[in-house]
Amino acid sequence: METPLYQGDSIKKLLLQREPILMVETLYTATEDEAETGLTVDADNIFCVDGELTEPGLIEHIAQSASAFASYKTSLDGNNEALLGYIGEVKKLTITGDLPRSGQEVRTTVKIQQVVGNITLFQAQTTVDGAPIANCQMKLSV
Amino acid sequence: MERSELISKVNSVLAEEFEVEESVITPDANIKETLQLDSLSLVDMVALIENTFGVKIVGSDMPKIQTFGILYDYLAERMK
Amino acid sequence: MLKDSYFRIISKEAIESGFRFEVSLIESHPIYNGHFPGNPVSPGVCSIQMIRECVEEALNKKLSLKSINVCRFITLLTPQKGVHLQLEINLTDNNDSVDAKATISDDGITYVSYKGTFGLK
Repeated sequence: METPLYQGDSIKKLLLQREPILMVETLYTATEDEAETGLTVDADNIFCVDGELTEPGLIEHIAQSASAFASYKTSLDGNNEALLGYIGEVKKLTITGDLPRSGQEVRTTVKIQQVVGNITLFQAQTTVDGAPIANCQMKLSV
Repeated sequence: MERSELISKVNSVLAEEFEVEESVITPDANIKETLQLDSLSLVDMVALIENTFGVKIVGSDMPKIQTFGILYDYLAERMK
Repeated sequence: MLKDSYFRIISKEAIESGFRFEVSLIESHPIYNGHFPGNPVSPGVCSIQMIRECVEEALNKKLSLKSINVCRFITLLTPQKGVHLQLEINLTDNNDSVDAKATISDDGITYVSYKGTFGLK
């Protein structure tokens, strides 16, 4: 049974977003250039329509996954403030599966491809119950 | 790779990706201005160079690489 | 989802190969409580959703978001800056999908440029 690095309330150390737009629950694992996050879909979520997490909600979850990872990395260098991250660009996003439903857990793996200045390029892959539902490239500006 | 071949390849790859004429890419030309790069597309340029030449442009080196000439030198140095 | 709560459509006009909308962001939307506390920033994904809802309005159809080629968030958008935005959308009809190119701008400042495909539900 894996022990997540950050979960629930502690994830607020990595993200500045708060209710109703806090879209990452758990940082499961992180290495030098890759991390895995999770979010259980809640029907009350602002991006949920008819019990389904809509595409903008999924994209926001991916963006916050990248942001949480970026904050985590700076925390290793002694920075204890969550980074303020903005999405700079979403590229080559494809939604390949059914949208996640209330109660399901969405898991996203973000992998750093490149860092130039304050822009980080990530590759992201999202799954539900192990099945891929979305992938994209994302640039985060911190 | 021969220097002339390196220059030719850099120019053609960048001209294609950023939709400029190869003729505007000269050794003294400023990269960001010539290719009209903002901070978002600068990352694309670095990724493209890395994927094409297998040379990683280290983040802290980026500010020094102002012109195409400096870029050619940087790559040539690391491709020996 | 966001229409009339996050943004309002002020006007809609058919243009060559598409539509132009005038929209206004609503400062009091609860999303700003969390994005970010004390520092309201209009979330990029809400701009994407706004584009989608305007295309839905234009075509009078519900759409799914199938893919995004590239969406750039060029300038930071806040509800204060978003009182009066121009949303210009070019559409290309395919059989079961529609390709959309859109920009969100105001007074010469481009906030978002978008290119993607929506599926017809």
